Formats: sequence, structure tokens, C-alpha cells
Amino acid sequence: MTAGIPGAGIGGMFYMLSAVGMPIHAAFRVARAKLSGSREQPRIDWGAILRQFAIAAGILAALWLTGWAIARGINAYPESLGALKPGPAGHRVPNLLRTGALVLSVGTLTFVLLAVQLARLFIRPSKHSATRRGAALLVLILVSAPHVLAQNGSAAAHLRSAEAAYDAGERDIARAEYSAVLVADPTNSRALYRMGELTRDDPATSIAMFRRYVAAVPADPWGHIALGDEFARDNRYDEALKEYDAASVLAPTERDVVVGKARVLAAARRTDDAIAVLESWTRAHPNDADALRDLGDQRRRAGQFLEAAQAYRSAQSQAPLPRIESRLESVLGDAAPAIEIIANGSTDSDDNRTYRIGGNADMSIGNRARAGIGGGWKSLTGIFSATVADVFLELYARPKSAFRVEATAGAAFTSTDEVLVCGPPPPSPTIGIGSARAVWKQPGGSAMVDLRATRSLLDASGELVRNRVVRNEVAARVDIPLISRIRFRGGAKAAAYDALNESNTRTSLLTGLAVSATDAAEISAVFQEIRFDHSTTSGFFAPRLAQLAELGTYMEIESSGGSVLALDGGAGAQRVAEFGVATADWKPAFRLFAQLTVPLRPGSQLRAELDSYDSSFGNEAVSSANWRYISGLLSLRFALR
Amino acid sequence: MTTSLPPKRTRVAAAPRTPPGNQATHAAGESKRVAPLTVIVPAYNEAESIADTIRSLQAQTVRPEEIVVVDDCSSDDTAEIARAMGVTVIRPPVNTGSKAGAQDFALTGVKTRFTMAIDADTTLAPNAIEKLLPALDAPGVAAACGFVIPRSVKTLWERGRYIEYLFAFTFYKQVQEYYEKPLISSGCFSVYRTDALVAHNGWETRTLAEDMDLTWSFYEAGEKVRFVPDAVCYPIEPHTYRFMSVQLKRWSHGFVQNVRLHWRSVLHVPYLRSAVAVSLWDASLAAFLYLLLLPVLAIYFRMPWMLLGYVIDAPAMLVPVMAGAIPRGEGFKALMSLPAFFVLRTVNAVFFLRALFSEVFGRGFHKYEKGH
Repeated sequence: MTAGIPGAGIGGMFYMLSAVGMPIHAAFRVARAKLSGSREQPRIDWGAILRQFAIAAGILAALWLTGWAIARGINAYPESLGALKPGPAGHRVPNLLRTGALVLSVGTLTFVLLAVQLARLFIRPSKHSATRRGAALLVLILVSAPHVLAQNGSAAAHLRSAEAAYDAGERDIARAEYSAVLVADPTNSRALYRMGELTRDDPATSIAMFRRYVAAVPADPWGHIALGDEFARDNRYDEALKEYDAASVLAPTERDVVVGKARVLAAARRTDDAIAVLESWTRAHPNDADALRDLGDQRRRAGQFLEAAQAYRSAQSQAPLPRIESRLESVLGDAAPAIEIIANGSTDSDDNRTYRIGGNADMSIGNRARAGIGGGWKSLTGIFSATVADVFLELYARPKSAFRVEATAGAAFTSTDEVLVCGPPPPSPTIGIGSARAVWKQPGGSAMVDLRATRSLLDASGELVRNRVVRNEVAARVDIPLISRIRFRGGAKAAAYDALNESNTRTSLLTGLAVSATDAAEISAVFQEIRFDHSTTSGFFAPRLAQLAELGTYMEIESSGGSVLALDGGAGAQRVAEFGVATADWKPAFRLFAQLTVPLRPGSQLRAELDSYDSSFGNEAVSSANWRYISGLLSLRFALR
Repeated sequence: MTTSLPPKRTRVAAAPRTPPGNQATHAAGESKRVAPLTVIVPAYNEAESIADTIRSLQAQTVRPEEIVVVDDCSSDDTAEIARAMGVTVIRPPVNTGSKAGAQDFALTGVKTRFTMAIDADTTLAPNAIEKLLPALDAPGVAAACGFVIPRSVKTLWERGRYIEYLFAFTFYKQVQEYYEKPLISSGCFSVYRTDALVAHNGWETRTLAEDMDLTWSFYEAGEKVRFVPDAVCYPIEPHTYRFMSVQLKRWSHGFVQNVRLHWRSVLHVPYLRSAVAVSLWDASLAAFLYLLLLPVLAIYFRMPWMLLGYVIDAPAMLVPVMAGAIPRGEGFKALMSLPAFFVLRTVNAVFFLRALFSEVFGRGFHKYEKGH
């Protein structure tokens, strides 16, 4: 079957582009396998690839020839254009037709493919695709069952028949027979349990059946386990855990209870709890390879890479699996010492340009922390030129999956092209910088607290560096779940600006709502207000008041190969009131941050970032009103192992 | 759609079944290899073609362990012909109402590692099974399908279908195969891992395109499907408009039904989601524009030559078609058949639009009608 209109339409274009992309895709797969040091190279049928590429090239040539022939025809017989009435510019019609057709088809294809990519971010896979079918079948069975019973005999006979069908894999017949049993004997535990199993494609029915089973046989821990698993499959984790708690009262040392509960905790993203349960279990049962693998997975998710490696190694020594070997490689890469080289640059509407080259090196300190050293050199050009060199020590610790702290401490060394001739003597050009941050995310929930304190040199322009503007800031941000997927988002910042000849203060408040569309996509609506104490002449824009109302979105798109594209964009309106001037009108404001991370091999990755603003008052070091800014960053991080 | 309880399936085995086994062996006294494969041939009034199908199965370089013909209560001699050729014939108590129903009826008795589905009007190239089976050795592969070429290419409709298949199987399907997402493991000739097939409840009757339903279900479960171009089958394609319309109606409704059923899950299957979205676009808006826009523009601008737009892609179409036909020594036949394709394509677009309208705004269509 070929849906639609084969050849014409965007299908032809889609497959042609797919074919053209095959050699590039194949080369990428080979290069990636080589870079990752994988012993298993991808099997590439270059002959088939070249054949399809040649066909695509042939199609392109045929299309070009067709376009050329049409153009010749139209130019030779312009009267054939009929009502299009070619005037002096009539000779352009063929080009218009060709270009129009190309733009239309490529544009439509792009639109359709983008729409699909966007849709998948917001739409979860159907867990209930069979619900209607299952429900219809159940109704049918329940309606028909009395008749069947009357015709064919007792519940016992149906139970025997159902068991035989179940053993033979005849699921439909088994369901019908078990249903018939339940019509005659609604508390028949065997039939209830089996019906729960047989209706797993329809969570509502399955849960109802297992609930009836648990009511009928409350002392059976496996009933609670089965019901708990169904709740978990339906994302009802609290209810699932209650069932597991009931099961653990009945059979506290049973493996299915303990490991099953850990899996529900993991599914609920209560990673620390899952780790605790699995650690306790594997300490007592060090040969349980399955549980060790689960433990490795959860430690890996918690960022405890060395401990994850330990669990994977133990599991592999019991029962080696290729997929666990690759996870082991991955966590060892993540835990290894690493070096990162970073190059970035920016330009803004005030003609300030910056370039920075830097890097850092870090290594694991114990199981749950990393420490490193970094530095860089930055050149700033514009009305004023300057350079800034910085060195810093950094520390990252994640004692729990839900809690992490980060700290940096170092110094920035400035150099400007101009000697100040007035004002007080400048302080030492060496400036202490540093930051501390603590983040807590509610396990299994969406609450979050983010606290930060930073001391930084503002180095967005030569003028800021020349005036040695240092900002000391404390900031807090919280997300508080309200209902369903909606969260309240609030934030506050207070900053003191110290420059050569002046000081200033700024306060900032943010409030709004955020909605998680999926685990990887969020939409937010926020209102932000920023106030400075007074105007400034030190090179940063300090309005009396700036207000921003913005609709924002954040999403992460992950490819099957592990590359991640993160997009954080916002569009809204902003108004600014400068000191001594009336509040300006609302103006549009836009921002976009994009980050692409491409894993090369375990522990190594390539990262590219783009950050841009078009607003009256963009980020926190704006040099003037009506500011536009764009910056890019490229980094290569590789693990030393 | 099932409208009553599933019937109790009684097997009426007319010939003794060969002992089940799960390993490839040499049958005693025979030089050909025997694969752990059961072939299911659903048949309803296929007396004219069933013998050819069975003969081509028995002539395979790698033979199946068992051939089971499901005589779905035929009123002709299908069962007798099949039985006389030494294959197993089973018969459900009542007509199952669909190809999928007949196949499911046989699936319960399959004990071999692999199961093959083939239409009763389809024959195979002698090495088709030998070429297809190795694809299932790769981890995670649940199904594999082959290249389809109409057995007879005489009438307008057969010629149109011939070009459509040459084009699709030489180009589209091979690109899909590279990206590991063939859109369909064709129902007329596919081999499945039996455990995967059983785990998906066999062939579902919830849509009219059970092969597409099963293929997409495999992808949703993380399993793979392969296309093996060297494994060739030859079905009898509709030779008249009446038969063609029945088939196109079934296929077009089946496609829309599958999109409705699977769209949420398909969105999360790389490449397949793009292929399905593009197909849906071409089957809906593009088909609408294709059928209406060109005549409207031609009338509005008074330029009848604009209707050449219906065949404007003929040179481009010829490239993959000839790439498929010339190695088969069928270049001239393909060239002569090309005009028929544009007729079929236009009719196809009409059927897809009707199906889309009926499934979205109407009652849909669920009655399985045989049309090859």
C-alpha cells in the first residue's frame, strides 16, 4: 500500500531527501562508533546506500530537466501563459513557477516534519489505545456470559476451559471463559487474578479486577503486588506504593515485594528512596544480578557514577549482559577525570564584541563530588577595549539525587586600553569572584528550590570592565506545585553593584505559572519587575523600573543516539521607565537560548550554545536601552580514560 | 469487527501434521533444508490460485516445516485442492470474516519458531524464504517482508499497480529499510517470529489493514521489522476496476484507521512518525489539492496545459521505476505501463480522500471485502 499520491506530494521530496542523507548518516554512524571506541562497528551496506543516493540524484536531475523543458516551452510560446498575461517581465514566469514549486514543497515538508516533532513533545504514547476495544470486549463478554453459562454449564467447567485456553495462549477465549466464571461466581479469585492479567492493555479494567482480587484474598501479597504494578503502569504511584506497603506487611522479606517496590519508587522518580531499598536488598542478597542492575541504573540517574559502576560490575560478575556492559562503560566515562575546552563570543547592538577561550579540568572526589580548576582569557572590543583573564576552583557535590551544591572561587584580572585621568585611584585590577548554589528538587514531584549567591565582574563590554563593575548578588527561585501539572514559580534577587566611582543596588521579583506538558517540555507565563536605586554612568543600563510579561517555553529533544537539543525561548512585552523620564510604552521582547549536546563517547561530548535577546532590558548586564544581543559557545569535553 | 463471542475453534486437520520442531533440520530423505517455519495461507474461495501458491511454497530452496491452509468456509474446491497437495487444511466452524481472523485461527496451532503469512493468490520466487529468513536472526527483529511484483501485468489496473510497486519497492521501501522503519510488513508475504506474533495477539481485526497494524505495534514495542528486497513474491493484483476499488477502499480505510489507532504511539517512533505524517499529508490535503487545484487553475487562468501537472513528475518517477525494472529485464514493459500509473494514482487519491472523510466525519468502514 502506498498512501496518498506516490511520486507527487511531499512524500517524494521526503524520501528523496532521506536518500540523499543516507551516506552522511552512515558516515556519522561509523565515525561515532570509532570515536566511542566501540568494538562493534555498525554494519553499513554501502552498496544499497549508493544505489538509493544515485536514484535520488537521478530524480533531482529529472526534476531539473523537467523544469528546464517547461521554461524553454514557456519562453518559446509565451502566449501559452493565457490569463497570466506576460508583460515585460513575462520571461520571469518560468523561474517563478520553478521557485514557487520548490519553496512550496520544501516549506510544506518542513512544516509537517516540524509539526510532528513538536507534537511528540506534548503528546505521550497512548497507554489506552486498546481501552475502547478492551472495554467493548468486556461489555460484550459480560453481556454474553450469562447466555454462555446457561448453555454450557457450571462455573467450574468454565474455569477448566479458561485455564486450558490461558495455558494455550488463547487470550480472547480465556478472557471470555474467565468472565463467564465471574458472572456465576463474582469472587472467584483465580478468575479475578487472571482477568487482571489478561486485561493489562486496559489499565482501568485491570485495576478493577485486581482490586476485586485483593478484596477477595486480602492476605495474598502477590495480589497487592499485581495491583500496585497496575497502578504504577497508570502513573498512580502513591496508590501503587500503598499496595506495596500492604504487601510488605504480609511478606516483608519477599524479593518481589522489595525489588518491586524499588521499581515503583524509581518509576515515580523517587530515586534516593529506590536506591535505599535496593542497597538494603543487595547487601543481604549480593548475588541478585537483576537487583544490582536496578541499583546501578538508579545510582546512575542520581549522578553517583562510581557507585553505579560498582553495582554494574557486581551484576556483570553474576550474569553478564551486553547492555549493562555499555552502561558500565558510560558511567566509568562520566566518573573519569575530564577536560573541557570552551570557545565563545558575543556581539550586541552597541557594537560590543567579546571573544573568550577557556577551559577547565575536573575529577571525582569521592563518590558523589567533583572538583576542578578552570580559567580563560577574554577579549572585549567596542568603544572601549579590555581583556579579562580569570582562574577559579570549582566544586560540585550531589550528596543525594534530589540535592546538589555547586561552588566556585577565583579571581579575574583585568586590563584596559585606557588610563583613567580623573577620579579616585583605581583599586587593584585583580578582583575576587565566586559563587555558591544549592538546588533541591522534590523527589517524585515538581517542587524546587534554587538558592544562589554570586560575586562576579560584569564583563559584557569594555566599558564595564574599565569601570570594574562588580556585582554581588543573592537570588532565590522556587517552584511550588499547585494542581496537576501546574506550578507556581516565584523568584527574588537582590544585587549590589560596585564600580570605580559609584555604587548601585537592584532588586528583582518574578512571579508566574509553569505547566509541564511532558517530562521534557514546559510552558510558562511570568511577570518580572526590576528596580534600580538610581541611574548610573558605569556602563550598565539602570532604569528606575523595568517590567516584563512573557510567555516562555522550554523543551528538550533527544535523539535515539543520545544527542540532546534544549530550547528555551520567550516572547512577551516589556516596558522601561528611566530615571526622570515617563514610563515608556510596552514593546515586544524576545529571547532564545538553544543548546545542542552531542555525545561522542562515554564521558565525552560536544556542546554548542546560542543565546540571543531582542528587548529593552534583556539579561542582567545590559549596556543600553533597546538592546539586541547574540552569543555563541562551542565546547569539547573529553574524559581521560 | 467482532460482533459476538470468539468462536470455539475446532481444528479439522485433513492430513496428519508434521511433528513440531524449532530447529532448522534436513528432512530425512530430502536434499532441501527445512526451516522451523509454519506457513499460514488464509483462503476463501481461492480454488483458482491456491495450487500455484502451494506449489511455489513446496518448491522453495528452504522449505517450511508445515504449510497450513485455512479454508475460511469456502464454497468452492479450495480445501480439496489444498488437501490433495499434501498440506494441512483447517477450517473454522464459521467464516471468520477477515483475513486476519483466518490467520489467527491457524496461529494457535503454530509450534515453530517462525510463522509466515502469505496470501492464497501469491507465489514466491524459489529462494524467497531462503533470502528472507536470515533477516530474523538479528536481535529484536520481529518481522521481515519482501519485494512485491504483480504476477500478471496486462490490464490498465495491473500495469498501474506494477509501476506503483516498482517505484515503492525500489525507492521508498529501501530508504525506509535503511532507516530501519519499513512502513508495512506486507500482509501478502511476511515472516514473523512466532513468539512476537503471539505476544501481539496475532493479527488484530480492529482495522482493515492488519499488516500495518501489526507492523506499527511491533515498532511501538521496540521491535524491528526488516525489508529484504531479494526475497520476491508475486501476488495476483486486481485486474478490473471493481476488484481494484474494493482493494483501494480496504487499504485507504485501513490506513486512516491505523493512524487513528496508533498516532500517539507512532509519534514516539523515530522516522516512522515522519513517514506516516508525510503519507497522511499526501493522502489528505495534498490529494485534495491534486484533484482540485490543477483543474481550477487551468480554468481560472485559461491554460489547459496546466493539466499536464498530473504527469509532470513522470520523468522523475521513471528513474526509480527503471532502476527497478531494467535489472529484471522489464524496461520496455515498465515504460509501456507508466501511463496506467497516473490513472491509478488519481483514483487512489480519490479513495483516500473518501476514506478520510468517512473515518473522520462518518461511520467509517469495517467490513472486510476480498479484492485480492
